[in-house]
Amino acid sequence: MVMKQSTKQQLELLAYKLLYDVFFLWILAVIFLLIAQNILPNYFFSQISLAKMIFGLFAIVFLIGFFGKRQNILIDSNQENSKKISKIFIFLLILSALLIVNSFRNLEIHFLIISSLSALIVFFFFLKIILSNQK
Amino acid sequence: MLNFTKNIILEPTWQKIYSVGRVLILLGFLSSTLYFLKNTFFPLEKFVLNLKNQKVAENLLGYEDVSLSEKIFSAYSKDNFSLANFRITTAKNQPDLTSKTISLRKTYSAFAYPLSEKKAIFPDRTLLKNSDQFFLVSNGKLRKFSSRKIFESLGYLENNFQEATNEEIGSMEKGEEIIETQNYPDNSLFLINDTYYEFFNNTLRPFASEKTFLSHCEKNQAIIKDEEILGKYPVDQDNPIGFANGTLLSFDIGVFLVEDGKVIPFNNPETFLALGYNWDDIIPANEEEIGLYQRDKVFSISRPHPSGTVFFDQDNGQYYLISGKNKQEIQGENIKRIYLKRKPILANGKSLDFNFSCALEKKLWPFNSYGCQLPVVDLAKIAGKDYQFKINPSSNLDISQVNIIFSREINWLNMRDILSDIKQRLFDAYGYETIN
Repeated sequence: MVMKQSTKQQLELLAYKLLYDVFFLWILAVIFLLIAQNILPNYFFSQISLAKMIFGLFAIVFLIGFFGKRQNILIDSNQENSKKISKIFIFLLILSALLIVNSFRNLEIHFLIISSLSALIVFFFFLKIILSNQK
Repeated sequence: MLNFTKNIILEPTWQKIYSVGRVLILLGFLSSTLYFLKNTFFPLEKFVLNLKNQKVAENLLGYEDVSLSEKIFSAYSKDNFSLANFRITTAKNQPDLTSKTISLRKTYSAFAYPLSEKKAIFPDRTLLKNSDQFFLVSNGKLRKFSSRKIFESLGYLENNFQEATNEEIGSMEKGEEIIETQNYPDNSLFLINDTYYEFFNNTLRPFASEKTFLSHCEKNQAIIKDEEILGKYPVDQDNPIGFANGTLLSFDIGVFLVEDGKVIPFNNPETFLALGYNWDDIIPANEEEIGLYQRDKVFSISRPHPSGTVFFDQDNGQYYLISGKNKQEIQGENIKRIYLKRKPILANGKSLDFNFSCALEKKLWPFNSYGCQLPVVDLAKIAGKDYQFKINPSSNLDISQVNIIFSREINWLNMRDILSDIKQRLFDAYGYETIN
């Protein structure tokens, strides 16, 4: 029996929405694991493979893209969502900076100061570009 | 949970399905997180022995076919557990193992070596005195200086000799008396121009350094001589004497154990601690000293302690010396003093008894497999790294596979160990001192 067109569309939209939720939780898990790995090296990754998690993430992104394309869903670019996304992006940038600084903690203090200052300058201009784009 | 797809509206029925789906996804995520945390904080430790030559990913079990009717399987771990699951799979048409007993002990495999009838004796090169008699231990035998005049004319002083009791002297095999003043007996020690030498087979063999000499002997055991003697006997410069067996060395970032002319690097600090060694016993070695030795494969946790290791049985207060695949009792205060230069490995005599047991039951899957579970919480108090499981099949048994899985119960005591481990890892990672 051929599935009704509307049912098929609803099913695909449902899959798209659910995959989006899975994607969010998956990203959350990867971020948590990266933070944990950075703070306590090799403690958490003895039980789980980061490569498999990243592979899983790509698979989800591929499926989201697949269903999105079939249903002609465009990534929403309205003002509210774009603000939300840039907030998340800024949060991720700060988090990445902290993780990088933490992984450099064993380096010589002079090198650490110079590299941190350089990173902060780059980060400042990066933020400036993002914020000016939003305006 | 955040909704990133608010603008995609579903029909009411599908919206309901979506809501249920979201809850299910959330529940799945939470249960996966809990499962992951449980496996991280309370990990299972799996060991397997496959006698049909199939490759296995888990840790390998040690296997010892003691006799036709006794087989021992050894799992190695520094950790303590709550439960041990034992499963044995036999080949087809083998005797039924239902109700057969599996016994378990936790010990050090070297400490479990059979006790030799021979007692530990003074090592070669030792100079001994007993009332007015003076001796040198040479080639494993006790050689008496025939008179005070003899040892004095050879250059020895009374303070080169250490006291020994009648029992200690009596326990040693007697060698020829030393009557010559022209030639030195084997295992005589000299200090010539700040270098220590041993006289053996009419040849002088130098010690690589003072540290290597002190790992074998005391400073006062060597007779101080001038350079003349170097012209009198050939000097074997190509084969300097290294550290004593069982010496722990550090070089660069590695820690090594000396065994029979080789240095064995420890694969990690956990193995070092699991073997009961003490960080204070490590001697820093230089490039020349470490270069004397060939490097052996890494010292992993499954390897037994080498010859020269001294164990202290905390249950009966007795000391034992490992010699080959035997252990010898160390009796006598003066002998003990020599062997206790390094701290002994603490062991428990009671650990040699197979005190824990369970009866095998037939399993539905895999075919021809039997298993049972042993509570092993009480083994935490016992020193050792080798969990040895013994089975006594009545006849020869064709075994295909043995699996052992150790697990920890989720309780406060185990949680405390885990938190302490995390604390230690944080201290290590952020540059604080070790708290062992």
